[in-house]
Amino acid sequence: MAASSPSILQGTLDLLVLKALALRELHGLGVARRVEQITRGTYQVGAGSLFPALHRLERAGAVTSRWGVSENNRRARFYRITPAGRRQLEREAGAWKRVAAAMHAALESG
Amino acid sequence: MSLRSRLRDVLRATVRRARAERELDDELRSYLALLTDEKERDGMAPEAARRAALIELGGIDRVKEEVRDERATAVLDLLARDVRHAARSLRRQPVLTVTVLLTLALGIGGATGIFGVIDAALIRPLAGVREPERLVSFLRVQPSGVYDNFSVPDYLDYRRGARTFASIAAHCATWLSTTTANGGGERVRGDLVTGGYFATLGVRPLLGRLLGEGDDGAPGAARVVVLAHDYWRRAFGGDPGIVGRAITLDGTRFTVVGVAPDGFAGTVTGMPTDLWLPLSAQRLAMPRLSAGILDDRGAGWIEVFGRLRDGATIAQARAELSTIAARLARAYPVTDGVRRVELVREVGMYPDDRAEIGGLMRLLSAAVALVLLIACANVAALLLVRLSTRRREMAARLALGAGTSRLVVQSLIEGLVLALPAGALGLAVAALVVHLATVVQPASSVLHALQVKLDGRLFLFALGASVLAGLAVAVLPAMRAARITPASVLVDGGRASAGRRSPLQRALVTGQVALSFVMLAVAAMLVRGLYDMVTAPAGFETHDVAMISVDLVNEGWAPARGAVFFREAVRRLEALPGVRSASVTTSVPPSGMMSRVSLFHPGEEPPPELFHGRALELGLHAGYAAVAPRYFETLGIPLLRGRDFGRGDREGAPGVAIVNEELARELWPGRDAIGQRVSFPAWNGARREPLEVVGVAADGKMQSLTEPAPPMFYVPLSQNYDGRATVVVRSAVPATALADACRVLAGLDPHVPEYGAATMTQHIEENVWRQRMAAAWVIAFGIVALALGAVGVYGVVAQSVTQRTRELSVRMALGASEREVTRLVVREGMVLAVIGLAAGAGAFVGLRRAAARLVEGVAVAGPGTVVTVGAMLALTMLAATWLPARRAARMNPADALRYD
Repeated sequence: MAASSPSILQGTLDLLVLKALALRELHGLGVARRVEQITRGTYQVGAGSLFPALHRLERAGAVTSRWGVSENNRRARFYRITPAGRRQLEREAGAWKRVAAAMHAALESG
Repeated sequence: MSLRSRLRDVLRATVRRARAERELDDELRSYLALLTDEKERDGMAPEAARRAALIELGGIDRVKEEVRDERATAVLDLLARDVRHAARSLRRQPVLTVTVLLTLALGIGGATGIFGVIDAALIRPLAGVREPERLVSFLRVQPSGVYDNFSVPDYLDYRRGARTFASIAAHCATWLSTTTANGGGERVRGDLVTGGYFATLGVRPLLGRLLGEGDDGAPGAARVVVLAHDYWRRAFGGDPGIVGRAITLDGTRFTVVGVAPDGFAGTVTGMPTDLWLPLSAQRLAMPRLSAGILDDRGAGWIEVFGRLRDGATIAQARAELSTIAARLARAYPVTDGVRRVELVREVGMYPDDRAEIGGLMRLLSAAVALVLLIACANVAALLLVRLSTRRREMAARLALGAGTSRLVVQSLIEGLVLALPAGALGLAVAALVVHLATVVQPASSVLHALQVKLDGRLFLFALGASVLAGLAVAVLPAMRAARITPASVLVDGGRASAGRRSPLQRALVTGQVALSFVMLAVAAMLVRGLYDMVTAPAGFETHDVAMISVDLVNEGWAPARGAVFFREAVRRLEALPGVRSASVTTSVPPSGMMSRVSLFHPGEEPPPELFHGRALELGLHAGYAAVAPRYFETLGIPLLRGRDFGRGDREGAPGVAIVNEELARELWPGRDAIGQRVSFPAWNGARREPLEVVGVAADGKMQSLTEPAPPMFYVPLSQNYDGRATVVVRSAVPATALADACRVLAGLDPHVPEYGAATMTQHIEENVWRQRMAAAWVIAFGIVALALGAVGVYGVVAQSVTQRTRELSVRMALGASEREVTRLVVREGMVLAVIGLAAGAGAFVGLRRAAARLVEGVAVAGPGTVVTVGAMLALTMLAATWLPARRAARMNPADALRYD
């Protein structure tokens, strides 16, 4: 039940990972590629940031994991978002949208 | 969940962690494989793809590090949050928190302080030397088991022959007189050392140079001296230009060639050295020893130690020394025949000193451990009470999803949050304890000059004790917390276990009372022993005497001049108002370390060569004192028969002596000692004219108040002059007489060093410093234990009253009187107290013999002590239970029932 106060980048990454998993279960590399995809190439997540984030989210109960088999028959660990994770995603996405709107308005104004 | 399943969880978690590591490894490798596949699909060759994937990954180990760091940060965050939470929660109950902090601080601080003293006195190796664990002391042991010293020729033989030692050195300590800056006289502690002394110890000079082989030259030629750091500071203000200056010691000028570094104070723990001279300066610095002592194989006066060669073991050294000793025994059967040589690790305290304070230290350790135990028990009980009032809060948190293990961890952290600051506070207590155990002790005690440094070791001990204490007090609440479930709280509405008494808490309080009893009973035993010792008839006047010691060896005073000084001093002192009589003696009872002589019937003396070197084994051993006329009158020692020494017994007149009854019984059983003759050979065995016994004095505890009366042999000071003696004065107001006497002596000659000015009462106090220290400390600890026990009982009863509010209100509403209610509550508390008392009494009866043995001269306590202490404790506990009982009785029943 930890609601730690992470750095901004950490929080952003967590949010992106949760969003990446929102539709379906993915393995580690799959999450990285999906994040790249949904941010239109802006964010390329390296393994050094990805795995700590996945374990953090798992410890917090936002995702669960299991061993499975990938498309090309390789053994891989798959991650899936949990209901608690969906709630966290909704919450943080909402906060981000508000921040983004405010910034947009501030920067666009004369 | 029980403690066992908790432990199982921890085990499982550890196993789980190993598995998690392996899984992470697998996961990363699979990631790598998938990445490689991807690159191959993009068209790269397999080898290139793999390499590119590795680079992109950044290294498997580095990623693992990142994940591990992440995990660690999370744990630390949790810990930080727990600590903040605990601190907040404790702040809300300031009275409890402060009580706990003070209690733990007392316990931890006391333990740390006593540890510091024991460490410095018995455990720590010698300070300021290189690799002290390689140093070994040589001990010469007589057949009787008594330790003896070495002779210079023997030492040289060992030095030449011992191959297992890198170097061997010797030394002999002595008191020297020197002149202070303002012209007065002062006694300093000097050590005569061989050339290899400083090199063997591995000490380097702070200023100038230290003594070396070159100073072992012709006897008397080397008039050089090295100062100790503290003495240099004290006497010369730390003057950096001290090297090359001259100082006067015992009338001879010595040149200062160097200063030793700070932290090195010689090789005797508890008796710091002020300066070092070469052994070859013996004739100048220790003139009372016989002239040829440096070549005398039979004269044992120096102490020997050595540094083991690298790679040599003490067992090898022992074997080699036995061989050398056997060779010497064969070559010199008279002087070396009967002694053996032992080796002990370390140079430092003499074995007898060590044994002496060992018992005292054990007693103090036991006492302080008990106090710490009681303190922890007290705090644990308080925390249990606190827990029971927070059950509702904790159950709520459980319901919201916190794991039981979190609650347990939080309890433990609470314990540490209390104990660690208490430990920090305890350091102040420790400093006080150290001060009281060393500086405040009389100068003659080996603890007085002990340097206890408040350094890393002590901090570590305090830290360790704090952590242990913190966990100890938190264990019980933690176990109790582990059993809380939301359901149980719902059942009784979260009220502090209504109707269910806490057996654990009661056990704790009973235990505290029992421990307090033991401590107080031991304290009473020690005090009684001390009182008996000091008030028992000693055979001499214990109050109305004052004394000052003087050292006339300064300025090279000839015996004639010294005799004149003593006579004049006595004359002037006797002229003082309030002084009944005055005299001079070389030994004042109780004298601690008394000179001894060997006495023989005339004609039965052994030949000088045989006597020499075996003096301590032959003849009748007696305590010795050279005294001026009216000594016995001044000290209140009855002269039973014959006469005192007088003007007629001067230098050149026939030699006379006075003996005590004990000696008379041994030398001339059944006969009158008066008129008998006794032979009293000189130090080197040379025969002298036998002395005629002219008087018989009563027996007395001349050596120590704890030992039986020794045989005593008194001779006239005029016929056996000694420049180091004590002036004694008999007066009904000894303190005033002491001040007057100091003035008189200073008036006679301001250069003469005076020391040891004291009244007989003070002198006796010094003699029994061990017993006084033991009694004082155990009393102090006993009072702390009593206070803690009382607080504990109060707490239990107060809590019980709160729990039984409803019950008691109903009783009162139904007509019970205030007195009846009070009695009910008091009875509950007293039952606990009485059980504790009984347990404590039982424990004490079992332990009293062991406790009495730890301190010399204390008699085992009888039933009187048990009854007295029991009564005192019972009264205290009664008061502790009565207060909450009164509060209960004063309650308004209507209010209490309404509140429910």
